[in-house]
Amino acid sequence: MSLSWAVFSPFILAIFVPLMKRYSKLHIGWLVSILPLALFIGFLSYIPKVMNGETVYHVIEWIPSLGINIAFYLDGLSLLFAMIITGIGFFVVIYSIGYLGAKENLVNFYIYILMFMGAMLGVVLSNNLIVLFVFWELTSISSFLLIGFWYHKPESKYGAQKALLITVSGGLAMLASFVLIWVVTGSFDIREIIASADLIKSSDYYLAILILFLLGAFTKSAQFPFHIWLPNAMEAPTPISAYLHSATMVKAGIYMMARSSLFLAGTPEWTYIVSLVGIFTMVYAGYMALTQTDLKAILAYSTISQLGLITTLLGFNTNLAIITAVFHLFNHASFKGSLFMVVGIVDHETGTRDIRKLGGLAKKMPITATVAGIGALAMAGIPPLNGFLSKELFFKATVSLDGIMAPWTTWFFPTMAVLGAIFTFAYSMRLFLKVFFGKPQFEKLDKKPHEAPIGLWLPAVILVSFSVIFGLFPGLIENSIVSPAASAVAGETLSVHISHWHGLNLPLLMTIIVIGVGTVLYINLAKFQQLQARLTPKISLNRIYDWSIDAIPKTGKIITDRQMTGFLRDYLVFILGYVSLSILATMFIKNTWTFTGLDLASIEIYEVLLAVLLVAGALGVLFFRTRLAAIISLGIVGFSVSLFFIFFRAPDLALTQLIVETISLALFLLAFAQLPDLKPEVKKWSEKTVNIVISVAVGVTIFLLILMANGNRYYEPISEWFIENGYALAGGTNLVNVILVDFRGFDTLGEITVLVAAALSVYALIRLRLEKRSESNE
Amino acid sequence: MIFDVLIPEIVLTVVALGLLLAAAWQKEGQSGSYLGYLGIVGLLGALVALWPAIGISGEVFDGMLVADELTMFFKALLIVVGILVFLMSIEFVEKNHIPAGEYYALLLFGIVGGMIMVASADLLAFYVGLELLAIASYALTGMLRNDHKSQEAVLKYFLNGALASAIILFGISLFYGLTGTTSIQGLADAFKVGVNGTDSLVMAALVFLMAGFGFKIAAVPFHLWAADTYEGAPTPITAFLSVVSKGAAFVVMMRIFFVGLESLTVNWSAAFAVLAVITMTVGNLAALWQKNIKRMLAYSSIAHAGYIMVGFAAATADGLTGMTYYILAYALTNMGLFAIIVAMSNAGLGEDIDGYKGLSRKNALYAWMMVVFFLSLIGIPPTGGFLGKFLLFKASIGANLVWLALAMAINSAISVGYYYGVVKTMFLNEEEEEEPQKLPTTANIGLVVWITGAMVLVLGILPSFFIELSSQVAKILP
Amino acid sequence: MELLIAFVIAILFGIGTYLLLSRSLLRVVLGTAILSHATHLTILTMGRLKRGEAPIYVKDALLSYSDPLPQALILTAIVINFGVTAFLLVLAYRTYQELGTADLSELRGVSDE
Repeated sequence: MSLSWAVFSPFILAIFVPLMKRYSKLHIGWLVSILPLALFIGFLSYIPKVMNGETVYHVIEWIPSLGINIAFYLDGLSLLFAMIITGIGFFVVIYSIGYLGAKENLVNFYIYILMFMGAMLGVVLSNNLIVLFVFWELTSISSFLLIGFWYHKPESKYGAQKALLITVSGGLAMLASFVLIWVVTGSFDIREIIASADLIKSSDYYLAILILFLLGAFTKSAQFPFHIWLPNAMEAPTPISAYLHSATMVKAGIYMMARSSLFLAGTPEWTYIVSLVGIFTMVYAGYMALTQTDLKAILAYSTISQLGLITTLLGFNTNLAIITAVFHLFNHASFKGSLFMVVGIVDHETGTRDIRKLGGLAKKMPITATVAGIGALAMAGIPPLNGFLSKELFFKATVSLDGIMAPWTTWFFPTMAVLGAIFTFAYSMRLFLKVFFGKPQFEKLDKKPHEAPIGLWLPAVILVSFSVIFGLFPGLIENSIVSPAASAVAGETLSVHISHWHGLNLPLLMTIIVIGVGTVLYINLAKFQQLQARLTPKISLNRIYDWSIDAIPKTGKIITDRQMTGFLRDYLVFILGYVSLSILATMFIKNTWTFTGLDLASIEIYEVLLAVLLVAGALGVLFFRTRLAAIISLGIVGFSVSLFFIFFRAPDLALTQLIVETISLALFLLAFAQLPDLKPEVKKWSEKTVNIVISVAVGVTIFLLILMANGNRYYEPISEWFIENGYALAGGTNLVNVILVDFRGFDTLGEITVLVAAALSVYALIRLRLEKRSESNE
Repeated sequence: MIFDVLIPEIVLTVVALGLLLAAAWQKEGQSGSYLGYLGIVGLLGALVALWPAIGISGEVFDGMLVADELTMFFKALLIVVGILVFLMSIEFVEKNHIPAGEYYALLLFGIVGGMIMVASADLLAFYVGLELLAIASYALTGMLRNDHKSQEAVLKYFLNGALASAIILFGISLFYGLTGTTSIQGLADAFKVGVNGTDSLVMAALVFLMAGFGFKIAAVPFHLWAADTYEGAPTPITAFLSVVSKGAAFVVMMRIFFVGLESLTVNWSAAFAVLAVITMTVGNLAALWQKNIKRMLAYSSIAHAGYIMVGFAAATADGLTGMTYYILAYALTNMGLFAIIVAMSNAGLGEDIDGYKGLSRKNALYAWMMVVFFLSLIGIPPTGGFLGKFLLFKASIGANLVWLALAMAINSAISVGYYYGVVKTMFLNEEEEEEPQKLPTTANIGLVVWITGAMVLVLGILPSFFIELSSQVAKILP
Repeated sequence: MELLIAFVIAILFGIGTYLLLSRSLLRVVLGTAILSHATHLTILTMGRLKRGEAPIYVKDALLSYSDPLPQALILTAIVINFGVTAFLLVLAYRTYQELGTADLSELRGVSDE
């Protein structure tokens, strides 16, 4: 099985899902489930290779010029994730067969889930950061589609949008960090980047890279304060919550942190930021889980809390911590996956997920209750289940920080860890005991509860049995899975030995405290919840999110309304004001009033007179109130300009100007006769003032510019060349004509084309008008 | 032979005049569609006529025009876009009783104007091309009869545009006053030798040029005309404006700023960085509120001008490559989108986003293709828009502008808001179960949608060839 | 002379701008006409005024000529401007016929926003 086939096969299968629907009477889920099973077995076969420290590498050229190739790489870490993705994927697909009836839109469901599976495998197998990013965002999109699967529900839409916005934004920040890494190392290839890890850690960009990178990881793995999307994501069908939002997608952030530990971790910045965010998330989410009434919300906060635990461990980045993180990752997938399935069964069979309405289900659903019991005990960290083993190791990691972090952390982290574990213990007990052994209140339920069909409970039983098996015999996975994965993170071969009994030591003491205090807390939970209700602050993160989602478009509206008045005048005022202001401002700031070296030509009295005439004509256009007078004044301006052309030794211009001016005037007369007369304008004085200010500003700007241009000439104009060569090369004496016809013939050609286009435009407009008139006459 | 370079333009001009002649012989009440097909044949001819000019490089016509990779690339793109606009116009022109001869001839003139612009080596030639394109665009905007919006749109467009042309002309004459030349290479030489780049007069000339161009590409604060004009213009012309006018202006800017004003890079790149952020933000925020899809896309196109300007802010070869690729992807994406909007308008479903309700069931091809185009506009893989954004993203970070890259990322996220709104409307399952009126795919528009959709995906999935082409463009750098 | 002409150009620009900003379509049209005159004069001034003879080459006579290049530029501008003016006039005419008003402040067809 080549790695690229593994990644692309789910996408290929997705294309055929609609056909399956059409041609198969069987539930599509059965057909779809073959693929994850096959892939899982395929990945299983890699274990011996990976155990020997071998890796698999496979590359397809994509955009070599940018250093972007579809490169897949398999080591212990990737293998662990790939097995979780395909293994849990298989069980979830089987489970979904019983969970989703034939009425649901199964085609979409399985297309999305296959898309997700492929994307997620792409994330954990990619060796190229850009390819990884593409798959990364694809997981966000498929998650969005799956959360919004029941899109007629407003909560689904809200949850889907929230998840998408937060995770995609985080992804984009991560892309920025990838590109920065490229700037520093010149490569997108993870192997090559690891080889130049020192370059990254010593670069000026390190902090920026780290923060942008962690933004991506934290948003995906729901770390505080970006965790707010995960509880809302529980609107997805339960198989999806079990798969994406507990076992796989939310662990993509964890994967990224683990993957990058060889080139980003180990610095004080990494250690403190990651471990503090992680431990805070763990405690905070555990605390929040206690207050929830929706079973899935409890599990969501529980997931956030457990992810916080793993993040903390990756922050420590000691060998012990890495082993523990990898081990717990595996354990969490098994017990949390089964718990989600249990909640799905309860929801399916009773019609509610509200913990307040549930109780005493153990008698009605014994199998489900057993699964729930084992899962909850594993989560709470009770021996001999696997959760106990990894929790013990976690405690051990927190008490062995001496010399790695500052002194205060040696008491801070163990205390917080115990606190978090107490919350975990309490909510695990609540989840299990209240639902299955609490006071029965079946009258509040819509359905009469009974045991679920085998299709629903079997996957849960199998998953939870891993908790028992690996809890009792951790040796089964020590060397085959945990050690290769941890070695890949640490960059050196780590030998792992997990045992139940470490002697009477601090971690054991901590476990005893957890169980003791946790039991007390569970018994007094009602009182504690009252206290919590009082402590909850008014301003929640969710409210900030909702507010900003509202505020962005509102700001947009305000900005838009300000400028987009729809009035032409306002637009022109804006443009002219902006241009003259920025030019005047530049002049003042630069303070380069170079009028020196003004090279002025002589002035004659008739020129002054002409200037006066020109200005008078312009003023006439401004002040005359009849069309004819205004047009005549405009004519005066035009003819004065052509006279100036004569004075300025430009006879050709004068000639052209005269002709054009005459025709233009005729046109003006023709057109204006059709238009209403000039009325005295009614204007507000404020509008008038603005107009005057802008006009004066434009005038002043132009005046200054012309004078400055006169004093600042650096270069002999290329015109000299034309003067020297005009006659010799083109044989013409009129230099302007020579330029236009010989040297710049293209210009003239273009000019004619412009005129043709203009004439055509005029014709088209008139024709439109005439046709309309003839239509209305008919 | 230097005329080799000009054959496509000559072909198009001759075809344009031919169309006019043909239109004059047209009988009353006869369909004008064949004029459109003739125009397409002409455009295909022009595309073939580009062939002899491949490999020719250097200045022609005494330094008025230039032939190089940049010119070649964008001339080809302009012609292809022209063909797409023609295809989507044929039924629209027929339905709205637009005079076909004038319409198609003006479109061809506009394309010729754009081609002159991208090939100009001299500010004067550029000005001529600019005016040719502008006049054609003004008239085309006002081609809808009985439509007050169209009439108003053309007036606003014209007056704003005339002012912008004047501003550009003023900027050109200031540069001429300073350096004594209007040749773009000449400017570069002059600034290298002696002109003091920090002089406030130089700055003023720069401001004029940037303001004028700012209008053409609809960058904030010169964007105000865009929404009204895009909304009022006939829809195929809106597509034309958002791609041809804007694209050609960007290409000229590449040459003027990267080559001619290379010595002033420090000054303009910083200004572009600021303008880019303001432009993308204002465009995206305003788009969130629009109920008319053309207006929404007008603001989206403003935002995209902001993204493209990132390449100027980076002011590197990477930036140039990124812009080229981005413009290519954006042009094809927008063409596809507008083709669907034309189809909707032909079917009498209007331009309001509400009219797109249930499109997924009326015409699944259009609905899904629209999703692809939106993905490309947002910058989500596997589309061309993603790679375009990625290249610009990379360029800006490579030029130490991390904040600019982040602004781009945030803006992309904001833009999801309004594109998603349309998608939601399209896929909304209406409560009533009755089968909706099917919207058939017509040959011409279906063709445009297929071509652009396929190209947008190719640009995202198999981009190597086009990235190579785009990076050739960076050869214009000194 | 340059001072005088700069002054004249500045006034033309001022007046032209003021007209451009007014509400009446007619005055806007007049304003653009004045602005174009002003621009042409500016270009000419950029190339220096009254230096040497008109650029008509006299064989074998060592004369200095005024700068012909800006003149060529202006010639192009004048012709293009003519086309633009004609178009604007028709546009104004059509706008009035279609919309029944020449007051720009009444043109605000934006419905949403």
